[in-house]
Amino acid sequence: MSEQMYIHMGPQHPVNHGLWTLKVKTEGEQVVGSEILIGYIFRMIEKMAESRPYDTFQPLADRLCYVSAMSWEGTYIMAIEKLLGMEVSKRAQYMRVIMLEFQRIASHFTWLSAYAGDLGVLTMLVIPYREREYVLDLLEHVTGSRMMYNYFRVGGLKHEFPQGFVNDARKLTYYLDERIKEYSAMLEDSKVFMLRSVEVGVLSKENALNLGATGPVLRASGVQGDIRKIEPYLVYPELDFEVPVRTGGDCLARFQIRMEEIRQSTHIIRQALDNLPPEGEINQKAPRRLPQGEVYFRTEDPRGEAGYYIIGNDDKIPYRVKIKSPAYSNLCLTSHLITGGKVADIPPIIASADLCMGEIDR
Amino acid sequence: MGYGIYEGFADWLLGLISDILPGQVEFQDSLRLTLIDSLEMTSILVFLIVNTILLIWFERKLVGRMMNRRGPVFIDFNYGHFFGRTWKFGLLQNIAEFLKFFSKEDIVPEKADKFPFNIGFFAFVVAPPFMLGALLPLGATQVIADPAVGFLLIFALFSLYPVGVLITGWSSNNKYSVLGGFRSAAQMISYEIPLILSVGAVVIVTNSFSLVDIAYQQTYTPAGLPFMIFMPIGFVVFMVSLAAETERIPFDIPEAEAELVMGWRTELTGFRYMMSMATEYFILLIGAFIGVSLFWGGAYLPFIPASTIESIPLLSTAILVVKIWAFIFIFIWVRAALPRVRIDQLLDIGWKRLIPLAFVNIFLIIVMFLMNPALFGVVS
Repeated sequence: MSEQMYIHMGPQHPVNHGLWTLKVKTEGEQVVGSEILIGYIFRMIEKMAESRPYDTFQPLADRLCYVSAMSWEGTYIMAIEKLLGMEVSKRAQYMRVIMLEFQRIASHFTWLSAYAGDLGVLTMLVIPYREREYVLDLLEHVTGSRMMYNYFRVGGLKHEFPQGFVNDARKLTYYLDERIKEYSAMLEDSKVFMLRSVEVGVLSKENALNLGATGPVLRASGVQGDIRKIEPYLVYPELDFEVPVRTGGDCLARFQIRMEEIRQSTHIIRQALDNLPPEGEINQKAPRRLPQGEVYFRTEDPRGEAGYYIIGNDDKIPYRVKIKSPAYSNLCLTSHLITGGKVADIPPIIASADLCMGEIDR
Repeated sequence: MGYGIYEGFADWLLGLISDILPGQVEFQDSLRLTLIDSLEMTSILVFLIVNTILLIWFERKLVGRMMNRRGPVFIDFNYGHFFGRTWKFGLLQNIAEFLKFFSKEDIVPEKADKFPFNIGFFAFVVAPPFMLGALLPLGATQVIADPAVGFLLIFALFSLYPVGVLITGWSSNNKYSVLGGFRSAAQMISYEIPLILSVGAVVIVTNSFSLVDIAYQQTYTPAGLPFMIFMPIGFVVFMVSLAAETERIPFDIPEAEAELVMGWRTELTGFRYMMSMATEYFILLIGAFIGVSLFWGGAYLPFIPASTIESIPLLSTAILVVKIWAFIFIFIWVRAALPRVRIDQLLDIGWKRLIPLAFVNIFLIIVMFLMNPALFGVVS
């Protein structure tokens, strides 16, 4: 078994949560090299954005990532608003924060079940989906859709929250807090889980910065890189929350960061529900044309820094749209992380980066 | 060792035949013995196959409940609609799936080495566990063959299994299968040692390799308590090693579906795949047989005299079955709760933890045995 061979993981392989190929060069159980091949689901999203009126691209922005559609459409809308120089009302901003944080929770639950499933604990593959379902029910109650929400609008939101939403949302946050404790008991108290997570796929602080890690992966390596804090948008400065940072840089640190982020998100949602202004225009009129100029706007996606670079040309149609995907940045460094490890460590490392091929291939 | 109920059943059957047939019929003794033997063999085979099918159903149902699902629901007899719900448990799900697997095309991969792929699989993976059936006691006294080497023979047949896995994985000419096969070989060989060492302590105190004798000796311990009470370390080592030998979570490394797709089974299709999965459960069942006989007192219960249990027909079998299912429940519970360990961690656990523990266990048992042999049911 000392001779080297390539193992193809993908395009159809259980390790890939999406359509991509990981060519792993192995020597027995040891990984000596790897190569990432992507582009299987390239859909010309950026070109589509450049070939239609700016407000009609927003439903397509939902399609960038199937687990965090809300944050992608939100980022696009907020980038356009920055280009237009619009200011939305406080009420709309609070409502946006609530929706974005619920989306973050749903996305992290999906991540948790994928990670646990890759480690082989199939109970935790199924159970986080139950909790995610409650969150999606709530989002569906508001937007009418479980997946492709199409809820944000330039100048505000599509419509008001339905009746009883505030109570339901508050109840749900307390319920989720209880559940998170259960997950920690199930996973972090398990010796075998710790064996598979501690010191696996260690990303040092220097490497994290050099390789362009972002989001929870960056924060797990000891760098506080949360856009909500370093370049605040919406009403995040008015809300009290902490950004979890760990210095381990391993899979366990990434797991803990995401668990803590769910707790912080429920905390943010409760504050936003308390502070939600009762009055306020939530759907202002937007100008028809994008002005001359360029803008780069970034937000904290569940996966990290999500950004849009948009050039307006005094036209309905944006001149250029470029998308910065956090999953793409984190995908590049998985190749670095798995090299030198064992074949069996590939699934947890890849899962801990939280990839979403929809936004990587675009 | 009496034949128990088989003798009575054979006599009753022969009497029935002579009543039906006209005139006076004389049966030769050899016919009667053959009838007894075939009854035994049929019953153990039926018992094992039915229990294997039920075991798969039990695991799916139980793990389903633990995962907040229902498991198989639809394919079942029609029990009717009462107490406000339709009662269905999916009991026939596995039978339906077995039929489905048999109706599938048998695919041998084009690039596979045909001879080892065919022979290796059936001769070394499927056949040995079925041979073990003859050695299992189906109650207090019902056993087909009770050779002096007893479970030494069982472990010998067990150790053919990794050979078959390696041959199947290697000959299917698939990278996932090769890695799975090698993992399986490394895992089985390193866990056979703690498994046999943990059993060694039992052999030392009972001076026997026979599952029936060892189970029987546990009725002579204080209050008839099983050996598990007196050798907990040995029992834990045995359980962990058995989980590794049966390739179950947390030790299902050879078929780690996250990275190796289906491990050494990747190229098995249709009834080959079905046989390989059924064999895995078959081995778990046999492991439960051994564990129950060695550590849980076999077909006997504490505080109840052995003669009482043996005097009631089929009671000992019922006790054995309940114990086996309780034993298997532990494995299913562990499966629902734990992730899978890595191959190097697995070998670490085996060589650095379990083998020293097994030796500690043997040492402790020897000391206890020398101080008080009555503790282990030996009347001096």
